[in-house]
Amino acid sequence: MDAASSLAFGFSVAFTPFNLSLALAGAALGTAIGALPGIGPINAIVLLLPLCFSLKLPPESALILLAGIYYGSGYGGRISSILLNIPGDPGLVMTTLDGYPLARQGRGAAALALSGIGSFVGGTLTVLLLTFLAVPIARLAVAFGPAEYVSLMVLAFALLSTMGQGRTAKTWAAICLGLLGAMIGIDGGSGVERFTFGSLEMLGGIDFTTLTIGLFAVSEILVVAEGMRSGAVTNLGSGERLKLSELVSCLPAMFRATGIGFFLGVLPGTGAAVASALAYTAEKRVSNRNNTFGKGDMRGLAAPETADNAAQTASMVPMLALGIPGSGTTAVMLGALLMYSITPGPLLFTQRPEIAWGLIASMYIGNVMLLVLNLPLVGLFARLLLVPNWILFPGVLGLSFAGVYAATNSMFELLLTTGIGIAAYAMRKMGIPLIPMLIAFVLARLLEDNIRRALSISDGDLMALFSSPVAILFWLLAALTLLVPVLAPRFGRRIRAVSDSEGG
Amino acid sequence: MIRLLLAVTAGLALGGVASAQNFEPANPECIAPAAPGGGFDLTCRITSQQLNELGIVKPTIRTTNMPGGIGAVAYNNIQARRVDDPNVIIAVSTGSWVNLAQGKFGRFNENDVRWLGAIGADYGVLAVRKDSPYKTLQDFVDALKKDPGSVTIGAGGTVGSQDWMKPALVAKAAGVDPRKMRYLSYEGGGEALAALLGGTIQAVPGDASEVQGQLEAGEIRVLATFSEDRLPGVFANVPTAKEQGYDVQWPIVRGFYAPPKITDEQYAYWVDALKKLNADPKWQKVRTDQGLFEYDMVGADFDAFAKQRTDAFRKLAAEVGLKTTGN
Amino acid sequence: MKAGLLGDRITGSLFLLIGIGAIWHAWSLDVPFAADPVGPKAFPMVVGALLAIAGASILLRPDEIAWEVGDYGRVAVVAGASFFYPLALEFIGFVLATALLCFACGKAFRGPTIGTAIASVALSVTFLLLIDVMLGLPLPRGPLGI
Repeated sequence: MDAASSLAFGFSVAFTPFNLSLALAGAALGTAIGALPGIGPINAIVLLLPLCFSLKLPPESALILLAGIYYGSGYGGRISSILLNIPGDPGLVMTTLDGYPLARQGRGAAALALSGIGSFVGGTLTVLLLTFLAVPIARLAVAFGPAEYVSLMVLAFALLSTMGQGRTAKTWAAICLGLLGAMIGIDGGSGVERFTFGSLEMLGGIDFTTLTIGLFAVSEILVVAEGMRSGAVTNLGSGERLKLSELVSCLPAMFRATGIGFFLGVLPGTGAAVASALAYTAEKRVSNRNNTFGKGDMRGLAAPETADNAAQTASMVPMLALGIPGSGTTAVMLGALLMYSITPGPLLFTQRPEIAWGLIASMYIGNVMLLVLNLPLVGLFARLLLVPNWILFPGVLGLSFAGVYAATNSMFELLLTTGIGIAAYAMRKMGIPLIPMLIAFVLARLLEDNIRRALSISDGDLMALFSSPVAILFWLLAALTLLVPVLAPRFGRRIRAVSDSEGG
Repeated sequence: MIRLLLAVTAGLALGGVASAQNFEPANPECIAPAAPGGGFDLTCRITSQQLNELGIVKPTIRTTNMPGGIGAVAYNNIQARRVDDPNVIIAVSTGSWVNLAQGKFGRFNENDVRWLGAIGADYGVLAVRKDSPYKTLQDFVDALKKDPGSVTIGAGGTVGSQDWMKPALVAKAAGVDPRKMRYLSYEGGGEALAALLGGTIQAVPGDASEVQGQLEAGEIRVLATFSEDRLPGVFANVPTAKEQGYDVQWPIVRGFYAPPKITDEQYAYWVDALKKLNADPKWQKVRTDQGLFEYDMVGADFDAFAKQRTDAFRKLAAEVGLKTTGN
Repeated sequence: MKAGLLGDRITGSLFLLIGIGAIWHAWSLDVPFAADPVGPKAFPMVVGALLAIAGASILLRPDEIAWEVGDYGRVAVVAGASFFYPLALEFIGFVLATALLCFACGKAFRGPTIGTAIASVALSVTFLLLIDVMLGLPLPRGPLGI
């Protein structure tokens, strides 16, 4: 069977009223669960897995339900990121950069709609690529070696260093703090404990969720409590829905972000957080001509949202094509398959086509359901802001803590969350940017581990890092990223003239 | 020793003696020392669900997540707060014993809890790519002997973890210093497998369940399983390491322990529950579906096994120069 | 303004100290053996050095920080409540602890006393129902069983 007829077969599996209603129910449940800070897609799936099992759902139906939950929970977290500046998941941090300013301008509903459409575009384009090219792409992805990862990480850090609004020294300090934070725990290459100071809780390092909630939720609530600015967005802008022209202007950003998200999602190890961060910084590099990014630029919202969903979907590629989980969430989906005695792997497509193609079809459907379910509701979600501050913020704080505690059962983890929150509040007051810190934290292990892997293979020969054309390409891009701001002022006039004529 | 004896008698007395049934947990709980989605988490959730569904444990068992240090946080939490709580069982695996032996569980050792029993096991395997020059374990060992640096080994665990221990034992059996192995540590078994298929590394000392799909599809070759006997199914044609002259066994046992100060009656209740579970054909199917093999060992046997394994890991770690607990 | 520069001076010195501390910690690591030529020390030392340099640069050339005049009392209440919440949670149970947290924060956000009290209880009960009962993630129960 070729891909198209297989897909048609997949749709015939998914398009039963029962499976469609499961997809819708999954998207709704997922949105609700994802909206709880600290409880992301992984938890949502794990918690509902036994439910599928005890309901005795056939495997393809269970996967369709789980795919709905997967997409739904990814979307649910966007609500608090955009409306409250509180991301509940590392992949949603970039969403706040332009999403929250939009909400403050009274465009909360429009921002939520755009985010939903961006997710839909990223998700659907990625499934299309997955449908036709999963196996060759997965083959290319696994051939990505340590040297290539190192050069990619260097490019990522180069982009990251240009992100801070203030002084370079402060951005670099934030990046270093993120890197150091990620080193806490047991070192893979030697089994030695670093920066744990004898604490058992620290052996496994700082958890992403704890860090995200501390850095962003707790510190944001402290900032609002201080009254530096009022948290309530008074102007709901009820008439100002997303305009078609705005959507069209975001399309190029969405396509670029899909590419970035797809690429990073397919690679084992790099996930949605890295993808959304790079999509945002790259988009800013390309489009930020009038310095509107960070102030409510629609493209600054569309890029990370699209990349996030594209990466989430693309992480299914190595799992479906090669049976290798590319991310935590796919590892859980893989576990779900195993529970049904299905061995994921290259043979899945021939041995159990109804599962493989049913799942792919359900991804298309999950994306559509998400849009169908959430677009009509964006106005309602935006009304969340009408809740008085004295209920809203204590509620978000309590819910965040409950989420952290429920997943860890650890007093220590809560104290850590509070501690990080207070430190982050102080850092915000001192103008230390938090986002480069979080992204550095996410990237740190990839950078260090891959440098060490590359040098282990080459016996310490540094030239190994420049050993392949792909690696050299990323090194050149990184050099360009760092050099252009230095050189640009000299050629500034000419570049501006060109860009003006291009931008019309 | 007295406790061991008591456990033995309790274990012998099981069968159908009513005394084991006098205790019933009021609100049973299974602690998964991992975040939701981790290996321990599924062990807990699936076992609890089956214990309830098969009517072995009447009250609903709830699963609590307590991640941190492959079980270290949960181990210490039990010692500090719940030494005599009969309601709670905690998931454990071979990986926990490896860390326990290396002092990564704080000041407690393997004698500080009551080991209940195993519910199944996965087995270590040594996998290479389909086009690898190594056709047998002997080829692999020869290459290691000639130049330990010539084979790049990679797996999901850190140096000193069980994934590292597997090839280290092979190297040691062959008279090669394990410290000379070229070992790359990955974030998880999946990443290591990807690196194997992509050609970055040449061998993955993984687990049977995680390489099964690739083996079926002919993407990889499994040089040896680290099991006592040959494994069933797709692994039936794969010789064990022992068959090939290197007696290295690495079962990744999944089981449970209970707090140290529960009564023998309470201990017997849980041991009996696991015994009934292991004997139930419905559970056996669920276990196989999870990629676990039969590993029927409960009560005193498991207690002795846990202690013996931890001690062996301690000696091994000391031999290769890793830190250990002074015990 | 002196006060404005003080912030950066403190931040810079803190970063400088953390950077040096990181280098010292990495230096003093006892590594039985590492499987790679780089080892676990190099990375924290390089990053620590970078942080120390960034810290020194902030310390030596501090910027003015425009201090918004905020209500630090309210910050202290929220931070204090967040700090005591974990300590209380396992002893008085989820509902009571969360209600107290929400109440303290609600008052810090200038809520009316009775309204805040009602909202706090409603919120904490809702969270218990959502997370504990519906999602099946156990939350600690206090002496009263809630």
